[in-house]
Amino acid sequence: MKAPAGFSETSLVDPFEIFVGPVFERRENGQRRFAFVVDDRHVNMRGVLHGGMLMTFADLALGAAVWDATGNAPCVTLNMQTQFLKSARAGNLVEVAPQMVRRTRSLVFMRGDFAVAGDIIMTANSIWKLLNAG
Amino acid sequence: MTTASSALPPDAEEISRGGFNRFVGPIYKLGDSGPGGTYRYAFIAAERHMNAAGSVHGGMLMTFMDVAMSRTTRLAAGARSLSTVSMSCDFVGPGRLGDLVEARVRVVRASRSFVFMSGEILAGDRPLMNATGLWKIVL
Amino acid sequence: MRGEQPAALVLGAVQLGLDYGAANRTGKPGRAAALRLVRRAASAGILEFDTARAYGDSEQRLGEALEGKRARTITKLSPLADLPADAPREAVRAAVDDSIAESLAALRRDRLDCLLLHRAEHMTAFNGAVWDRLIEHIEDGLILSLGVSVQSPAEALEALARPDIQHLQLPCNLLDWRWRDAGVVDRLRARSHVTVHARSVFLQGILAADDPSVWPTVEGVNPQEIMAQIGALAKAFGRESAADLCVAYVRGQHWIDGVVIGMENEDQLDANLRLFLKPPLAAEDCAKIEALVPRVPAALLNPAVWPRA
Repeated sequence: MKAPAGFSETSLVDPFEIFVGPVFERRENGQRRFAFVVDDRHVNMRGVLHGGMLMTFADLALGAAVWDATGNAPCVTLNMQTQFLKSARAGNLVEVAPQMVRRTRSLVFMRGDFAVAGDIIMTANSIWKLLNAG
Repeated sequence: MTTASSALPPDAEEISRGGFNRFVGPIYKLGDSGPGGTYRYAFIAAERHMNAAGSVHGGMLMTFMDVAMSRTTRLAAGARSLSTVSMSCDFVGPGRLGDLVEARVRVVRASRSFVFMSGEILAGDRPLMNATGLWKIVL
Repeated sequence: MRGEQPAALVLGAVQLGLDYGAANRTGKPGRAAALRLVRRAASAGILEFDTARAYGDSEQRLGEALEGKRARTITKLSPLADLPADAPREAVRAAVDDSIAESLAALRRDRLDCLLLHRAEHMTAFNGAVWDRLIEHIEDGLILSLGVSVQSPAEALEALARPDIQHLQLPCNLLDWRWRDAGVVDRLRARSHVTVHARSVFLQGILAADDPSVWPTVEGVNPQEIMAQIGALAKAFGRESAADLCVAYVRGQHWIDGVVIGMENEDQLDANLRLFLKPPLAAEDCAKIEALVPRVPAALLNPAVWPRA
């Protein structure tokens, strides 16, 4: 699949992400914005984007933002909360620019608004544990 | 060494008929059991479900819980059309390749328009994830 | 410990850039072999790679092999050997900046995941100009994590007295009584957010080499005797080799998060990956080992003072 204009393909290592991908990225204000194109694999039987795919994309994008902020420190997700606001369909480009809410010695709080053409379809808040920090 | 299909209980029924469910599946519903009306579901962790660290990917666990809670909303509330409003997932422990991963979902409350659910995902007796979910009944 | 997991394997990349180590016989690999090794290590699940400005082509090899991949690289500041002791502050800052710029270019990154002082004395050298400049780069985001590579408990304690330190690298092996004795382990318990990497778990390779001729001549040290004792302990604890026991002991230390092992070929990578699949020693078994191994002279534990072969 060709990358959307201005984006390049993200290098993925997790088998599940490679399975549901590709995912794309673009640098903006020194940080990465992520996106994926909804296709026939990602929708339910009514043609609506599956919540599970959106949550997977959130885990991928927010996780990548945690690595970017901590110098690729080994980490795991502790918690992910998602609120679904609107539906999306095949052909839509879903984008997010993750934001770090707070960082403590051993935790990173990362959130994101997921949008199609500027319309927010989902918000996610996540907490990550840094493994080397006690 | 047991094969994947023999790891499934005999009453397992595939519920992933199409779309994303089928793409990441197969996902099964297990016979009703459990105290307080617990609904049970399962899938077998395969290579495509994993992350690079050798555990089942968090996105797959969340997808699995989403499917389980959606199906539970249909069964428990008789809903024909529904949508997820919100979910919260706590990641407790890692799932491994080959695990029979099971979800147990309990309806906390079902009103005319909303279903509140609580769920957990386990592999054997190892807890993998705790979740709560709020679904809206459209029809 | 990393979370609830024992220390992970960190690939030590010094041998990819230099000829190094008392028991290192194969020599520095060519570029293609080095790239294959690092890429295989990354695919095998190794998340962290250790290098230094002073390690020749090592940073370049990692930069090329890991480009676009998710991996954490820990590198070290140049030893600044060319700076005179009375160098003015601007010269020191420029030398620090040059080292960082060279590392960034070689690693193909625009920020450093983790930068360590290669010489602990740079914490205070040049009236603190080196450390001050590194703190400025933490603040401007050029360096994401700062630390020190130390050789002795005294250096470790000095590093741990600094609030800004996030990473410590130190030599540690099953004969090394110094860290407990000096209170470093206790101090680390109070500063659990500092990441600790152990290097030299085979003491420059001699503990695993099964060859007394690679041991340095140190008074009071009988290599055959110590090797026999370690061999017997390996058997007693059900370990397949001295190397297995050495790794299992260090990974059994709760205060250690990563173990840096230098590698130069894929056979060594495979052998180390196998050792890290095994369980670490339990705390009570570590304590038994500490009680049973001989208390070796400090000179054996500090390769910097070994007589030149």
